[in-house]
Amino acid sequence: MEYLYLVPYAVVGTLLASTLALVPAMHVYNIAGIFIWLAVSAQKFIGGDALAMLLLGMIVGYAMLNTVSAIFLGAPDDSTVFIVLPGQKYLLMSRGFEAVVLTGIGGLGGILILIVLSPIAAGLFGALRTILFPHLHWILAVIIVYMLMAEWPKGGDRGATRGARLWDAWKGLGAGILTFILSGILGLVLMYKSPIPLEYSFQNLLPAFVGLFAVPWVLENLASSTEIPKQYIPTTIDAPPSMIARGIFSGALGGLFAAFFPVVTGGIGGYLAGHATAQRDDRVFIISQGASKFLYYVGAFWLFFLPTAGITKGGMAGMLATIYAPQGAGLYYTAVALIALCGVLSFFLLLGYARVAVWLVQRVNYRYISLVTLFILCGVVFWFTGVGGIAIMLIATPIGVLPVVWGSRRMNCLGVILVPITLNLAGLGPTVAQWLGIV
Amino acid sequence: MKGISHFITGIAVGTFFPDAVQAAAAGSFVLVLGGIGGLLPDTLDFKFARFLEEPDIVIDPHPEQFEAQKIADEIAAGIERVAARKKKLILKCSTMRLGTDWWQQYSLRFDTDKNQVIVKLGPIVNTSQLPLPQSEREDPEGRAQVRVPLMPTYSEFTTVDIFGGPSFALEWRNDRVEIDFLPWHRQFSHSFLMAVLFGVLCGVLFGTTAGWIGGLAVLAHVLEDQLGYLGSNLFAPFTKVRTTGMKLIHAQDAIPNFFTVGTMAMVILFNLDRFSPQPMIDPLFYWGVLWLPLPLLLAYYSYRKGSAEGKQFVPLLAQQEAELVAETQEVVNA
Repeated sequence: MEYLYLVPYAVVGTLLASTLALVPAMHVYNIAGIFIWLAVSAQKFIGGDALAMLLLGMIVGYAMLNTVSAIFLGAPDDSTVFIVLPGQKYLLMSRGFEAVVLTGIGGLGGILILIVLSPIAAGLFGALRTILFPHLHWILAVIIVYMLMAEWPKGGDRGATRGARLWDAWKGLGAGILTFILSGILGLVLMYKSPIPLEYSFQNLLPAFVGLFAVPWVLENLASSTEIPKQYIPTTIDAPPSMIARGIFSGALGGLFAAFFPVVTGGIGGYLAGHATAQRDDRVFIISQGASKFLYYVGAFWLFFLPTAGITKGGMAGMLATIYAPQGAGLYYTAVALIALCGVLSFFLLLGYARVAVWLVQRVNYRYISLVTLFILCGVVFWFTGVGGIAIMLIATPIGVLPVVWGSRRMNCLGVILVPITLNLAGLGPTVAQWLGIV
Repeated sequence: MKGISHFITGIAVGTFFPDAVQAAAAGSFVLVLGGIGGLLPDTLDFKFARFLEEPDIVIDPHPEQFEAQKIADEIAAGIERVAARKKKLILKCSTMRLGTDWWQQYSLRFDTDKNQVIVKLGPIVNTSQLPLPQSEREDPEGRAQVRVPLMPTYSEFTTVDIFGGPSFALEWRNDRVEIDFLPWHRQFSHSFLMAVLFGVLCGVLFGTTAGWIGGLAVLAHVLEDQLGYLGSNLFAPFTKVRTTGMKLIHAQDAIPNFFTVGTMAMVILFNLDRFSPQPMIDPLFYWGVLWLPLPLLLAYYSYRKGSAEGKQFVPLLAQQEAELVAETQEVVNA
């Protein structure tokens, strides 16, 4: 009962994040950073535990609800970028609501996984951390190599000569590699010479993510004059229990991997787990991405509360760790219980918000929605990061457009975080930055 | 097997070298070579070999003269030409792109019981393979009788729609025409010599251990492919024919791939711990308890596979071609 007073904080956090999650590009970390900054400035106007649970509620709400803007507005971030393609496919089949609910089911499965793992998590993740910690650099390199090698040609059928066919096949692959290299260089620039003011350094990646992921998608929607058909709101979901279980299992593997490993996002984790479990169905994929995304965000924060393990992974935990350290098993299990409570609350909010989104896309021309989304994206970037952020966004956008134009994978834009962190873990970051003339 | 299974197997192979694991812990990227070697054979095939193949018969339908019967007749004529000349010919079915995101779908099937080529015209689809409503054609099916005997082969429809179309080697063998799917795949890239060459290359560039890791990773890929219905041309370039696999698994099935990825992930973790200054994993508990669900899952899979095969006989050649079709589909959908 001693932790009961924390419940309202978590619920308020969820309600707050549920609104923020609907604003394209408004990442929960942007707001959390401001909360923490305020907490420090105002001499801790709320206690450490209460602040932690407020942030916990926020991240749970955000992790469950951010698919609404990704699917209906086509404005993804680094972890929802994988959901947009099947999500918009569903949207064009009048099943946008169903896609959102499938991600929510994945999120609920994620909660179940966290509850099941909670008694053994400290020992399991503590041991994994000890074994893998010296090897993180090459494991990240392995992920990069797999991402690049497992992109297969999408052309090459035409051409009178072998050379012509190879060119046709390789122009898309080449664009993918170029995207990865350019976004990697952008990441190094942001790490070593960011134009973003120091007091907003926790927003450092926001303009890059918006430019790389959200703006290109919105521009594509604007250019292609997408027309959204009348949406159908079903009373049941076309996914048998075995399919849901497979999706959650696969998403759990990916999400926990992403929650534990630095830099690996929920999208990458879900992508790798999808390959590992040989998914073939869109529904399984969407559920797994929902679970993976939820476990990536929430799981990383959950690890922060693990007694004795001392794992700080993810932006939220990283920011909170600067001013607060959780104590004891009681608080840990309270966090688990609040994840469950806020997760279920978020799921019901998701159902409501998805209906609002359906109403919106049916009544307002999708071009106008995309246009307004674009203005919001620019506004959020300017609000949080100023002119420097807008400049980064403008540089990142053409890099993010490359995969759209050449038909390569958008995932290659993740070079923006994978390259600098991998190089730094191997101790090569400063050397490469020097070669590039950044430092 | 799926790409990720080969890839992680290659990495796992590398972790058996204590000096490589210790170098990796100190900042080296040598174990990445295992992953590269693990995926190299398929990379060479799907990113290079398929585009270097010169087709003899090209099915390249025009949107305005898109008739199922005409396509079926062309393919049947090609098969008969092989019988007449007793010479191997490559048949290529091109995709038909109608716009930035639109493709005309068609599919073909070799009915070796009735000696027919069947072609079906499909709808217009987008790159996500979603059909455009009301784009189905009238008279969507054409059948052409082939006047020479055909060897049993994959009996389902092969769909041609987005990106690259399939190719087939048509060859006169034992007084019948054999239809071999994706003739460029699992040839030299999947041979012992390729493993040696990549090993030597890695050895020259990065040292002896790197050479062993690179070579053994390629070899692991080649050997894993032998578990399915179609092996590979193990002794290329000295031999020309792809071997029959061990028929233990269907290479694209979820459970064998999950078993491989799970087992190899555990091998990697075990070896990283084993070669660390203070190992902490108890091998008995690790392999005797934690690993146990994976072989049990595989045993269940083998039982199900055996039962299914007991109920329905599918000729070996058909199973082999099905494996190739599934592998191509993975690449298209990736």
